[in-house]
Amino acid sequence: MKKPMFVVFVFLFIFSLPCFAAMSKHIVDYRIKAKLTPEEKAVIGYEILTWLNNSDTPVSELQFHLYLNAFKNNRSTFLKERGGISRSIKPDEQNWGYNEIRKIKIKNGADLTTAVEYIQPDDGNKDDQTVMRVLLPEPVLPHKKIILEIEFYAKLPKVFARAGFENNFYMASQWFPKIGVLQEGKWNCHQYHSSSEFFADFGVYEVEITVPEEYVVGATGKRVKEIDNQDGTKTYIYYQEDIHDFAWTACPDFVEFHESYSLDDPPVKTEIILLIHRSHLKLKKRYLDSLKNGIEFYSQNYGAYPYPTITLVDPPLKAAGAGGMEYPTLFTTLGAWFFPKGLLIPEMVTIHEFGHGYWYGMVASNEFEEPWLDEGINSYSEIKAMAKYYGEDRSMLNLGPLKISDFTFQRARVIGSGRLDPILKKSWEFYSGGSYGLNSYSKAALSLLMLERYLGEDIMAMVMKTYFKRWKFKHPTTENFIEVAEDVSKQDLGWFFDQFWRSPDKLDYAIGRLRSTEVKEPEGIFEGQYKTDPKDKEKNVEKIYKNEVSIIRKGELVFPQDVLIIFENGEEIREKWDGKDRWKKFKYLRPYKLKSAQIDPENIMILDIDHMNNSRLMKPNKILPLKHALGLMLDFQKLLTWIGM
Amino acid sequence: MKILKSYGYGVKRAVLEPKMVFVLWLINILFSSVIFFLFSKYLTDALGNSPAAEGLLKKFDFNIFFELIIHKGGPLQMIFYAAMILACLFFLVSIFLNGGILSVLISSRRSSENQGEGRRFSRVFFQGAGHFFGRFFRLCIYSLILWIAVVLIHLLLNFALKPLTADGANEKLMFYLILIQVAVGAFFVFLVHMILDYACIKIVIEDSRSVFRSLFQMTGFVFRRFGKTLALYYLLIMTGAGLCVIHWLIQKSIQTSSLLPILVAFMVGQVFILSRSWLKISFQAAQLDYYSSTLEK
Repeated sequence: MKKPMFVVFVFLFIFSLPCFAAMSKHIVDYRIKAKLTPEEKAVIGYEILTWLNNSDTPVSELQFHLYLNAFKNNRSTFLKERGGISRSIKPDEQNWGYNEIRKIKIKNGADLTTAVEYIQPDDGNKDDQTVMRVLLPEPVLPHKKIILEIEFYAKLPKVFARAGFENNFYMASQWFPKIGVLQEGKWNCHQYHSSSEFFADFGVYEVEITVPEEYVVGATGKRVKEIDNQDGTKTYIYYQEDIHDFAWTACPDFVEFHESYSLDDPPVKTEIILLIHRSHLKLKKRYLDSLKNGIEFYSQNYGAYPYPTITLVDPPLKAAGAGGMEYPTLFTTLGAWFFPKGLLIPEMVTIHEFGHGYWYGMVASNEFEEPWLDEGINSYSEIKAMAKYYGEDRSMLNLGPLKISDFTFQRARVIGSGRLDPILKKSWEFYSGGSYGLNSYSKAALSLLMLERYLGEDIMAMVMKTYFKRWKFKHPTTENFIEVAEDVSKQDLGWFFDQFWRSPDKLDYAIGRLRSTEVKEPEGIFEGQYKTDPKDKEKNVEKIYKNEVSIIRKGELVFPQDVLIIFENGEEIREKWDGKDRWKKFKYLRPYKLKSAQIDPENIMILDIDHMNNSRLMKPNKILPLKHALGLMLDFQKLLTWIGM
Repeated sequence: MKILKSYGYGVKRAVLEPKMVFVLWLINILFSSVIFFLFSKYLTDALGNSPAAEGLLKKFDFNIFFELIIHKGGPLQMIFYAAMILACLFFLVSIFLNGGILSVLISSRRSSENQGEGRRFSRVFFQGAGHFFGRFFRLCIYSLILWIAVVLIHLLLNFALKPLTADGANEKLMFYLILIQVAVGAFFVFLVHMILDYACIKIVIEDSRSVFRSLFQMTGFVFRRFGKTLALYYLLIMTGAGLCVIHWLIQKSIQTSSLLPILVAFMVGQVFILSRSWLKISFQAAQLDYYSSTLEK
């Protein structure tokens, strides 16, 4: 009996291996003990880090991010780029934040504390201490591991950018010494910039968080244990694999809700955890519904959500600086006690930040160097999800007659921009924070929507699905995305990406002129004979018009054009033009005049900066100006009656 | 009862002054027509030839609005500045008109009490307007003292309430405190406005040149009869609010996507502006009646 049982066991074990297989290559393993000290607004931490040298070269130094040092003084790169600490925050001693390495040593080996030095690989700013280098007494050999023990002190700043405290609310993000990414034998460990987010290797995190017992805690991953320490504190233990960061939050004013969520196709089973500030309990349903919409949309369009939990954190209004941020399996949203139902910001932020769990969380591109791969793709997904669940024309604002879609908002941002940067740029090299946001979020999202209209919705859906499936947990680059797009669409799309991603130039085609002029019959002296226009004499002679439509390329970028020409009698003509020259004329002889002309009738050119000039009427519309001018006049009359009161 | 009597008098008096209502409306539309011509020309140039703008006939489309602001927003700035200048000029004109309105009201009141002879409307109106313009203008400048006091009260209130929400934990309280501050602010704005109305009435009745003294005395007058003056004022405010609601309901029911409904909506709008002119006269007449009744005592 024993032998067959053993065979069955081995058989089952072999076939169940894929179920237990890690989704990502585990380069790091963090075991952290963290204790929140509210009186110091700080976290006292102890970290055991196991790091795998996954390269073929020995590594003789390690590099770490100490992100909280961005808030150490006003000379840090982050605060210099941002123009200082937020004006609403008094920069007293308690409001600054920093990471202090109290001890760092190799497990059962040398103490490296004195070998710590700060480096500034991006800008050489000697006052910046957001990257730490540690020289090792002996190199870590290829494919070998090193285990480090680190004692650290994380002083949280008054929150204005992601991490920090506000009254009794704590957001511990980018809070622990975090090792950089070794790529092709070199460290990729950038300083913390005002307009940059993050990049890290995947691995395992087990974190013990000790807080005063009245605090409600939420964190990345699954809570595996809860211990009452009998000294007025509680310890919560969280564990998660296949993630590349760990964040947590604590506040006695949180109200915690749990709900199971499952989806049949694709199969998803996860636990939704809501930590809602007690002032915002009215938003619970809105948060929950939008999060469910997000899970459904992303799972069905890109791939099943694979983690056992997803935690939504709703910070108090005064800590809004911590809101709207993503971390693995946890994100913060934005809310307030008064939030009109038609103002869909909580829904939009929830869907957006959850969506980051895919592009930042699982695909995990380098956000320092190619921010669009996360923000752009996620904004594209957000626009589509918001349109699906909240309406094409009202996905951002739906207050009575006032309706604005997410798409409209993003497009307004793009067409009104200065066009100083292309999409593809390192995050800290953009002209300004505004240019970073505009290009990495809005323009990138619109370029993908334009690609979708050009390729067709089905092909684009396949591109996105394939990109996620092929590259999740692998840190892809822009080239990998292009490769997938070209593979799936079976088209050379270099011309598209070169223009819209690598150039800041504008796309603008316009109808130049519409003209219908009557064709005169030969009149005058021909071969010694005098001829008159027969129409002058005979009323029945049919008039012929020379109809002329000119299209102008006003921008630098080139895009193939479709032109729709409509005549007064209803006749429609479709023309095609490669769009390469600066202008093109179409001429027609007809017994009737032109009515209108329109380029891009299918509205493919989302990035065309002026849609108003894409079409033109032969006879101007007079009612419209009358309506709005009378309307404005009446409003002004009402204003005057108030002034004259 | 006295309040209701004054309110009734004000409303009736305004009905009996159609010429004055017409003059107020006419001046209003003359100023506003500048905006009409500027905006109409702008829209014709910017949108007239574009079929994309046809959507704006049925509903307000933010896509087109943003395109317009971004690509052709320059002239809008000029129209905005023109509106600001017109509003300032209208403010001066309305100071001028106040003298006319009160002169006509007092003149007709005296005629009906056989204290004077009936005179031509235009003569009384424009003579009175010119006669009191300087004094009312000075009154506006002196009223800055009251406006500064309002701002100080507002700042003090803000200072006193701030500690209640300093920790940001109770956002509901924070929201209601903001609403309370807005309501208190509006109350003081109306209060100052009411004091100025009575000061104007006193100046005209007494043909007084002591503008500052009138302001000071009328501040005292209002505070001595705080409940009654306020009740009369808010009764008239409520009448105005009622007119606004009626106009809004009618306007909402008109679908302005073709020429005829657009013109109908415009006419309805003008009726509303006429009713606002009528209300302005009602305000003055009712408060004049109330003030006069206190003098009779």
